[in-house]
Amino acid sequence: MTTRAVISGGGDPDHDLVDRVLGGDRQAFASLLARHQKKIFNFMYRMVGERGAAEDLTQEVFLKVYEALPGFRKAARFSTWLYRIAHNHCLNALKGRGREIAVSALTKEPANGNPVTALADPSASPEERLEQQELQAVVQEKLAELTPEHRAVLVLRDIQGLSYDEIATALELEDGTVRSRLHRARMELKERLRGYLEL
Amino acid sequence: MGCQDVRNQLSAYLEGELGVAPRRMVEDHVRQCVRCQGELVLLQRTIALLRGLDEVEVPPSLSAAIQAGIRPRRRRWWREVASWLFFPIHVKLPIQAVALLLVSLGAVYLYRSAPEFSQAPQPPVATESVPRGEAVPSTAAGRADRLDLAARQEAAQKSSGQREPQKERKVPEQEDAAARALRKSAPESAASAKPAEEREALRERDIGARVLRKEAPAGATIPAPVQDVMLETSDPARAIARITEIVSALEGKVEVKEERHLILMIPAKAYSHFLTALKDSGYAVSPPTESPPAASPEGTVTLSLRLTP
Repeated sequence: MTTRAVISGGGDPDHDLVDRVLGGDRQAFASLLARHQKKIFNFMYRMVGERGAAEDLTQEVFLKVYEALPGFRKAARFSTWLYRIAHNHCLNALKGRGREIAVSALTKEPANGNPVTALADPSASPEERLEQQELQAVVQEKLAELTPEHRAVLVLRDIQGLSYDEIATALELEDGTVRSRLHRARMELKERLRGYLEL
Repeated sequence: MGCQDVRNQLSAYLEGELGVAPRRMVEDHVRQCVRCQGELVLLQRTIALLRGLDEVEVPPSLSAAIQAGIRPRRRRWWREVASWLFFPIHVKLPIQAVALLLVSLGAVYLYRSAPEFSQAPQPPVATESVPRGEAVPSTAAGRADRLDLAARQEAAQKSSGQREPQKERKVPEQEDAAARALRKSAPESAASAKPAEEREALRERDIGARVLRKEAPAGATIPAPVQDVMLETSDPARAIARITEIVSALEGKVEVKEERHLILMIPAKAYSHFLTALKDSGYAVSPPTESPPAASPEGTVTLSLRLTP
């Protein structure tokens, strides 16, 4: 039995919103958007490394979701189906538009405008905060050096916290494939970060 | 367990997914191997860094931009109809299949059990639908067509041994001059090949059918028509005697209903003679009727005659 069959969409509160959207309720779509846009935008941001590109891709994904909603069969959670569309759209965009990440742009953003560094530990000293900013920028840069497939599984598991089952459904992979791919991605990122991690 | 085997298990070890024995083997190895211990620490820090990346704030304009980009959801009418007809398909399709089967079986049963459905189609003269009061086509060409059609149907029925329904037989007294002229000019292959009496019967039936179409809609049972007429007389007894005499001479019947009310049944062929004899006797019926009224299937004209002073 595949992992996709294990995932059940029963009891998903989003299903009621989906029904309402299909009935023409635009407010219900606004509710779906409010519930999920932050996750999808962050997924896109970690995948492409640019806020503008992430914003464009997030917008395209939700428009695609809106059009594809009649085909959503509720066999899985809405969020998982949404991640699947977002992942496929992102991979197509990276391949088709040559949007491989230019992470260096992140480090050029001002500190107060950098969404990552702005969330650094407020109790840290200015020197520690600067160090955290630099380290997070390095993580994003090294993340961008991975293949999109390895990057996606790291983002979904270690940054967004999805379960193996949800990742398997979203990426349309077997459960064992997810685990092995996640391990290889972590080991590869560890090697790329080795110089920054060793004390 | 070698170093590579242990390093392959480090991710699962940190996720807490290993069983008791593999977990103990990894821990024992890491305790003794400084290099694998260092790899474990680096992997832990890598995962911690990833988990420490906080969420990025969504641009405030994103939601509005998305909502501005969606179009009002309009379901196409054919999708609405299809959805209403077929969905959920696993419920409605079997029901529709069963319903179709039942209707088909019912139609077959009805066809086999009802004689009017199982019989051959009636000749046009009996089944043609002409609303009451509507003018029957009386052009020369139309009559010629009917004569030819009736001739062919008559021949077919004779060859198959079928008897023509009685209600279609009509023997009018008057000859239709136009029909007679057309019969002469009709194609020789259709009309002249028939015996004279057969053509005569066909002509009479054609005329009778046109009268019937005027009187009753197609498919209805044609009752024996009764025509109400009045006759003025100061001596009812004498008039009754004379009328009885005339009708009897024409092989008709007289039934006295009341003192001044008679029912006359006269052969349609003799109707004009009946009128002539009445006139010669000094009587006149009203309303004056020169053409024969509708005859019964047996070819009898029935009059309801009331004597008025």
